[in-house]
Amino acid sequence: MVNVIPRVRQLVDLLAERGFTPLAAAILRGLDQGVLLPSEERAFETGRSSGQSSRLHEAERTWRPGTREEQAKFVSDIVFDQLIEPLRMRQRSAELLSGIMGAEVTIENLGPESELLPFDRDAASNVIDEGTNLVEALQRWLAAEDEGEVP
Amino acid sequence: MLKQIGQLLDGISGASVTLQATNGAGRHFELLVIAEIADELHKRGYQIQLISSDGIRQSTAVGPLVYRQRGGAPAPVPAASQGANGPTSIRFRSPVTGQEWEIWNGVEFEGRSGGHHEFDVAIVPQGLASAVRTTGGSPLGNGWVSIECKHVADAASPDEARALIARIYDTTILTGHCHHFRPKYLPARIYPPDPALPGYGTSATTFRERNVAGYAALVRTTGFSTGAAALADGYFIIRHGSIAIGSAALSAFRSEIADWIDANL
Repeated sequence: MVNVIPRVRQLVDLLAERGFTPLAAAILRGLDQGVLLPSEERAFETGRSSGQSSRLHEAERTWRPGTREEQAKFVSDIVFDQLIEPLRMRQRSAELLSGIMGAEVTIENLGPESELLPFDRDAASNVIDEGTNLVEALQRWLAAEDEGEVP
Repeated sequence: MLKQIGQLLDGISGASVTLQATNGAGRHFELLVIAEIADELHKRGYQIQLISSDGIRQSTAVGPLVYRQRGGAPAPVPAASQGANGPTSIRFRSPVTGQEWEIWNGVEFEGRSGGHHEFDVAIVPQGLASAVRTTGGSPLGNGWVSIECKHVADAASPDEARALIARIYDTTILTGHCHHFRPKYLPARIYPPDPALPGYGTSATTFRERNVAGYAALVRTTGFSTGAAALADGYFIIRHGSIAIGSAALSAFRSEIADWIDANL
């Protein structure tokens, strides 16, 4: 199994340099987990006493190292979830609210310093397209055997 | 390849400052849930209005319509005197009862312990919403609807259900509690932060009665572990999993909550 982590670290640097710090942090959390993948999920009974089953069942997840392709998908899925999916949801919300009100409704985020961050629906369409390309490119790059291994 | 990825990121970062500031998709998911509820109510004949944080109803005759979503940590409701740049709420009016309600996002409610608890989505009476905006602050009690939204990759853990149950427990004001918190007034379900003002709604006698009568839900993009499902079901917390844009699960959620609102608000 080839580890993609060195390339993921390059990706994290690229993201951080461009200000995508929450996304970079999410990927780093994935690295902290060793880019491991769930192999199975099963229910087991807890709090058993005197041979009686507890009423509560907890999910137990066992982990195993992912293959190169799986690790690449793991990281690119994070990018999709954190980068593209939010925009798709924002687009949908803006469309719904505008339809309800019968006029364009602009969505603004209140930033950490209470600054207003507008959401541009037209720009978002382009970002979604570019983001889809990005995720595809990422997955190819992370999973590729050639192009020189990163030391 | 690395250069190409960098270029794609450059294009994205230049087009959307929101993405750089957002902390994951959580807030976006919450707004999606709110917009879907509002859309379903609108289709059922409810009148929908956008209310700015100064309490003024937005109108195209006055200016462009804007939905401002709270960012960062959860917070109390800002006072109307702080202006219109705070978070927007959505007001709806029942075509049958004429009652008006507001949908809040990410507002902190005060519990009996004195602790504060955020509900991602809450529905409260319009009168209470206006009273809270008069001074700003957190209402004592909880809303008629309380929803926790989760845009995460893993199934809900038992702790996620426990957290919502604990929030609801602490913010549930029963008849027996009312004389302690607002001795001057009749028992109510929720009170404005100003102790000089009366409460709204009818208080319940038992936690079970309140849990059954209210609409508390976990709405998630993924599913529920067995333990989380057992806890939620045991306390009448409604579970909606696999919610995604255009999904059958989302349609089912829209119908269910609108049916509940039709019947109860």
